[in-house]
Amino acid sequence: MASYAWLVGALVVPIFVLVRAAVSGPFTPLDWIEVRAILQFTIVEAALSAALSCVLGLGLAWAWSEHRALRWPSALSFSGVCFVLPSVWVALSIVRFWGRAGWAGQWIRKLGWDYGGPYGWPGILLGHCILNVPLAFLLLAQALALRSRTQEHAALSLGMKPLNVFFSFALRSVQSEVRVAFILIFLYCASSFAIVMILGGSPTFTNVEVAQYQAIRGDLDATRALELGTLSLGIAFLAQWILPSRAGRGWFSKIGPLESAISALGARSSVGRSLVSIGVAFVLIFLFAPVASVLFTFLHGYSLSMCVLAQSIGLAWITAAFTLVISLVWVLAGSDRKISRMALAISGLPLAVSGMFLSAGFWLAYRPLVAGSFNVFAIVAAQSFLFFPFAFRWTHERYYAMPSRYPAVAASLGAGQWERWRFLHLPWLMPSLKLAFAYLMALSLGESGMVLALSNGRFETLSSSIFRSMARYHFDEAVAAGNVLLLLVVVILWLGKKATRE
Amino acid sequence: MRAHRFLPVAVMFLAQLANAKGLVVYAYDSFVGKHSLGALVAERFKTKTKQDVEYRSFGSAGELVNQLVLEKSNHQADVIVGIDQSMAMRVLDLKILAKWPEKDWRKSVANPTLSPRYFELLPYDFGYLAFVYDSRRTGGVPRETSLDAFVHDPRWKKRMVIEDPRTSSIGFNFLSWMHAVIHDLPNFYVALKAACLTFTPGWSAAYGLFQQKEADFVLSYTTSPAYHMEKESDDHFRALAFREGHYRQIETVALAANSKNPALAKQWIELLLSREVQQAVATTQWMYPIRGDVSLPASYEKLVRVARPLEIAPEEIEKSRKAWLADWNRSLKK
Repeated sequence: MASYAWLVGALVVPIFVLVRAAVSGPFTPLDWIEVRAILQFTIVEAALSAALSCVLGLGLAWAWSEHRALRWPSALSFSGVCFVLPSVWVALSIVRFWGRAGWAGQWIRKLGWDYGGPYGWPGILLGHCILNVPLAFLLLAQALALRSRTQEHAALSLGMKPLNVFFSFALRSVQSEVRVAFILIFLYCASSFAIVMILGGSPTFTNVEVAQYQAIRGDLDATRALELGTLSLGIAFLAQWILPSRAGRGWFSKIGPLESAISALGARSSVGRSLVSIGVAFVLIFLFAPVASVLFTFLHGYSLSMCVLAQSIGLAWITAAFTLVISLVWVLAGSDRKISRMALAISGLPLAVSGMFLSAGFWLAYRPLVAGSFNVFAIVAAQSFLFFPFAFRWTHERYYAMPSRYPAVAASLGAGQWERWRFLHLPWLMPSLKLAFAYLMALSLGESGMVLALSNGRFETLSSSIFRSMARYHFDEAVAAGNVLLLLVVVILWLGKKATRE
Repeated sequence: MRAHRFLPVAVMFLAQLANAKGLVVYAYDSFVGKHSLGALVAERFKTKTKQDVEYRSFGSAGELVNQLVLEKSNHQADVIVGIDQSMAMRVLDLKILAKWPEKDWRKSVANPTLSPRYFELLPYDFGYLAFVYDSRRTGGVPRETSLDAFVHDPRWKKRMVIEDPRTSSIGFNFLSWMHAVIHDLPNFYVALKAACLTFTPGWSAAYGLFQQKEADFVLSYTTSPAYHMEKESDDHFRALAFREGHYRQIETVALAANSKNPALAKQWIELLLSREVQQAVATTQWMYPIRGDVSLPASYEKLVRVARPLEIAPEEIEKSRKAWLADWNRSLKK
């Protein structure tokens, strides 16, 4: 009941209030030719970005699971910092490295190539990969690490090549996680704003989110924005509902040609291992050098406000705890498989709601709370709603990864529902919960939209201070705040990983 | 008990509790926060009246107006800050603003060159749109040119960055500027697309790209170089002067008709328009103060002097808004 009350409070009420307010204005029929173009672009950019991120994330996760002795890929989990940073900041850091005047860009130009920067499709895909490969890696590395390897060991001992083993066994064992990663990244990219606008380079690249911003900021037409918002909710629901049931079936069995093409690589294991190392190193440099390029460039002279730091950490702590509790309740409520599928479909909806739209709905629905001294609760509620898809997926996947015989055995030994939950499910979920807690804290630290929209200018976090500094020409201060945020996130992720190992 | 784990949470709550609400002011985000004009007014207001100011901040003036459109007369604002000409009609149509008597308007605004267009809106600062460049990076920039010639100049191909009018208020004002001075817009759009490296969602991203040397010209204000002179002692940043004139953006403040504290709200507005606060506009907002009797920093003396301020009437902007944006969208997609 509590979990559904939260859904109603966090989604239904704000949206209802927003709809009521918006429809009282003049109705604007949508131009379907334009909408079709927007939808087409949204779906293509999100699908391509998700596919590319999943392929890179899967490759890195597999390399990590097979060659753990090599320490470099384990550092990748820390690269999740890209995912939590404000996307405008990430876009500017990509330009700082890959741009015309960027480090790599200058070298490319010195080589004589008339390099115009990463604008257009390359920029959009690169930006989305930088943001999402760590997420794909995290989801898939965990699944690959937990898989049963009995068949793989048997196949290897019978002389099967490592890459054949990967395609025949490992990949098939993580099919569902690949789908989960794909859907999450698809939804995330479908509602991408700053990356699409800054790195897209022209109005040709307009997705539903950008169109909603145009309706709100440019046209000042809340009704049109609402219509477009409904479309993005529709996309999210369809992606959540259809993809898990239809897509992916048989897909993994149709990759034979690829398998045979690169199986030669695995034949010479030492060479193959070296090539995998070089490939992974290249991917890491390609993806994460942009963020590294701005690290520690501007910390000198930056006076860090302890109040801002405490508020950032406090908000992140409360949001992470609250979101995890809600998602645990949802996982338990949806332990029935039929309800579970519905819960999965609903759980992704927050990813499709425009942050600006959600904050407007929250403001209208919970005005006394938002306007009062305790508006931090509104920020926590809004942030928990935004991060719920990640928390739910993390806990949900782990919950269902438990062999069904465990609870059955526990029940046959006389364990009641509470005992099973306390002594079986909770310890089983604990590694995921600890890591999810760290990542949710990191996500909250990096979230700025809700803080800016619901804080009334009084409550400041590191991420909101980045925007406020940028708006006042203080770009050095913004980069310094970004670096402090990065350090904080790395520490939190490190603590999360440490806690998981313990 | 590991009580120290909860220390940050406790500190945050105490910080929240310490804030009490008083006068409610709707404003855009960069008006409020640390070292801002809003913070200065709030501080002086507290000293003067012993009352607190609660800022309700929005990401941009566009979002603020959108919120007012949604809330209509149910809004909680006593004062609304940041409405410029491009959004004026949309807010005026809501009929939620109080009118000022003409005498009071003229006395408060204290600028004989500005005549009131609407007595509900009191200007508090203004700026002129301009393309800003770094003279160390860009050679051969003429002292004065025309907007059309500048955009068509093949030397600047892919060297400009401008804010997208669909999502940014300065971008939208640039659209108004184009409509005010360019006769052959389709041709101008073709040249503009070729000249621009990218179109950003807002001013911060555009200026960030310019600062990173990714673009050589950025759409900003004629006053932007003053920031670099004052804060970085760098006088290499310049604004291009255009013969046909520069578009003037005027930001206004308004008193809500249903304000619960009209006397206090008036006091707050008068404080914003007072000489002592207007003195700080040039170095907090980096715009021109509305009062003509305020002295400006030395850096402002070196800025481009705009002989022909351009504006388009809010009614015309409102009438043409959707058509302009649709035209922009269509032309730049080609």
